[in-house]
Amino acid sequence: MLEAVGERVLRAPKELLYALGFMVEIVRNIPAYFRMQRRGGGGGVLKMQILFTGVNALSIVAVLSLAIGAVIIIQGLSILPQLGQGQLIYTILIAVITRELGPILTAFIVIARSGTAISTELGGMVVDHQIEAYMATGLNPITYLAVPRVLGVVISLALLNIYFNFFGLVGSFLVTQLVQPLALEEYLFGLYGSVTLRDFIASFAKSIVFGIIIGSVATYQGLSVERAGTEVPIRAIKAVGQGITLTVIANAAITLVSYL
Amino acid sequence: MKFRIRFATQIVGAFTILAVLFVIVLMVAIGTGQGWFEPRYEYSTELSSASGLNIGMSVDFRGFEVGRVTNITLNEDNNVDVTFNIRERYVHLVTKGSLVELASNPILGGTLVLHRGTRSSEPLEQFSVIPEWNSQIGRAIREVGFVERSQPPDPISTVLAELDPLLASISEILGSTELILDTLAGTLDGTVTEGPVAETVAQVLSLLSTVEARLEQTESLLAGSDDLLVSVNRIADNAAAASDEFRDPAGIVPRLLGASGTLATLFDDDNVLFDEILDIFASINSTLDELNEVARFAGSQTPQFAAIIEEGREAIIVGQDVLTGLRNNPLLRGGIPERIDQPSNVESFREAQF
Repeated sequence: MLEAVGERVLRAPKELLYALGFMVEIVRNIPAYFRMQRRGGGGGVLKMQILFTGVNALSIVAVLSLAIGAVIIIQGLSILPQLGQGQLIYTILIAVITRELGPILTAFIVIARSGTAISTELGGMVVDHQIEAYMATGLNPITYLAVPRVLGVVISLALLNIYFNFFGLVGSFLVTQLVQPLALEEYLFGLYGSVTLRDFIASFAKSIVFGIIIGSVATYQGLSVERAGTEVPIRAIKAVGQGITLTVIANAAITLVSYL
Repeated sequence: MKFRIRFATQIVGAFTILAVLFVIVLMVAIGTGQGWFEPRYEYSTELSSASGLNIGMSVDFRGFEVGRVTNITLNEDNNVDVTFNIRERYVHLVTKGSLVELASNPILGGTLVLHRGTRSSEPLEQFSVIPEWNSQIGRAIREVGFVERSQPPDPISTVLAELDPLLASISEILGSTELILDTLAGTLDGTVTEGPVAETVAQVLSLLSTVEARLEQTESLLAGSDDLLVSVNRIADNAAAASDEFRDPAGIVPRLLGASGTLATLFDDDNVLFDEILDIFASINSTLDELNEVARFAGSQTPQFAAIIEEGREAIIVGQDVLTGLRNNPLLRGGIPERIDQPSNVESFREAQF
C-alpha cells in the first residue's frame, strides 16, 4: 500500500508536466493546423466540432440563461426597491449573467456534453488503432485531431457565452414582461449605466481559458487510452472531473485578477 | 440531423455571425450610452481626503452622470488631487464659479457632484481647477452666490456628517463621566482624599448627617404636636364660633352695642356708673391710706414685738431648766444643772420708754 501511494505521488508531477507539455504541443500545432486547412484538410473537424459543441448546445444554454436572467430580474424588482436599491438589479444582473454564471455554466454544459464526447471518441480511435493509422500516413494526430477539437471547444464556448448573455440580458427582459412589466428604456438605461468594458473582457477571457482547459483535458484524456475499450469510460469520467476542477480554479483566478 | 450536417457550414456561420453581431450591437449601444466614443474634457480639483473616492466614480449633475473620476493622487501639501473628465455634451455645465462636492456615504457609495457656476455661461477651459464645495475658495464663491446647488445633499451623508461631532461630544462626555465616577468611587472608598470632588463629597456627607439629625428632631416634634394640634383645633373652633357670632346680625356685637345692650347700658347712664366707680376708687384709696397708717404703726412697734418675743424665749429656757431640774432631781434624777447665763442683747421693754 505504501508503495502504491508513493508511486502515485511520484507519478502525479510527471503526469502534470506531461499534460502541460500536451497543451503546449496543441498551441504549438495551431499554425500547422491552419496551414493544413489552407491546403484543404482538417477544416471539417473544426466545423463539426463547433456544430456539435456550440450549435447543438444552444437550446440548453438559452433555456438556462433565460430562466436565470428572469429569476434575477423578478426577484430583484420585488426585493431591492423595498430597500431603496432598485438600481442594483442591473449591477447584479451584469455580475451574475455576464461575469460569473455565463462563462461557468456554459463551461459546465460543454464539459458534460462535449468533453465526454471528445475523450470517448479519441479513446475509441486509440483502441481501434486509428491514431496509429494517421501516424502511419504522416498525419500528426495532435494537429489533425486535437487542435481542431480544442479550437472548436474554445470558439463554441466563446459564442455560447455571448448567447448566454444575449438570452440572459435581453431574453429574460421579455420573459419578465409577462410577469412584471418594465419599460425597455428604463431597462436599457439601467443596463448601460451598470455594465463596463471590463465586465465583457473578463467574461470573454474566461470563456477562452475555459475552452482551452476543457478541450485540452478532453483530448488529453481521450488520447491517454492505451489499448482496452474499458479504459474509455474511465478516461471520459476523468475528463469531466478534471475539466470541472480546473475550470472552477481558473474562474476564481480570473475573477481575482479582474477585480485587482 | 442530416440537415444540420449537410448545412453545417451555413449553420456554424450563422451561429458565429449572430453572436458577433450581438456583441457589436451591444458594444455600440453601451458605448454610446456611456459615451465611450465621445470626447471628454479633463478637469481637476483638490480635496482634503480621498475617503469614499475611487477611480471610475461618476461625476453627477442633478442625478445624471456627466463624467468620471480618472485619477487620484496625494500632492505635496498632503491634499488629494482628483482628475476627472466631463463628456462633451455636458461640458457647458462647467462654467466659471462651478464647484465640485464629494458626496459619499458608507451605505450608498458616493459620487462627485458638479455644481454649476452662474457667473458666466462660458465653459471653463480644459485642465482648469474647479474648487471643492467646502474649500475656502468654494465657501467664498457660495457666499457671493456665483454657484447654484445642483442637487440637495444626500440625506444619509448629511445625517452622518451631523452624527460625527455628536458622537465625538458623547464620547467626550462619557470620558469625563467615567473620570468623575472613578473619582467619586475613590472618594467614597477612601482612596482619594484630596481635590474638589473629595471635598464636595465630604461636605455632602456632613450635610446629610446634619439633615438626618434635623429630621429626627422634626420627627419627635411632629410626634408631640398632636396635643398642640388638638388645642389649636379647639382654639380655631372657638375663633370660628366667635367669628360666627360677630357675623351674625343678631349676635353678640349688636347685643353689646344695641340700645338695650350691656355696653350701651353701661355707658349710657348719665355717668352714674362712672360716678360709682369713682366713689369705689375713692373708698379704695381711703382704705389704702388707712392700711398705710396701720403699716407705719406696725413698723414703729417692731422693737417691742422683738422684746416680747425675747422674753418669751427666756421664759421658755427657764421652763426648760425647770424641766431639766425636775429630771435631774435626786429624788427624781440628778437635780438642776448649773447654767451659764447669756445676757440678752435685747432691751427689756420695761427699760424702754413704754
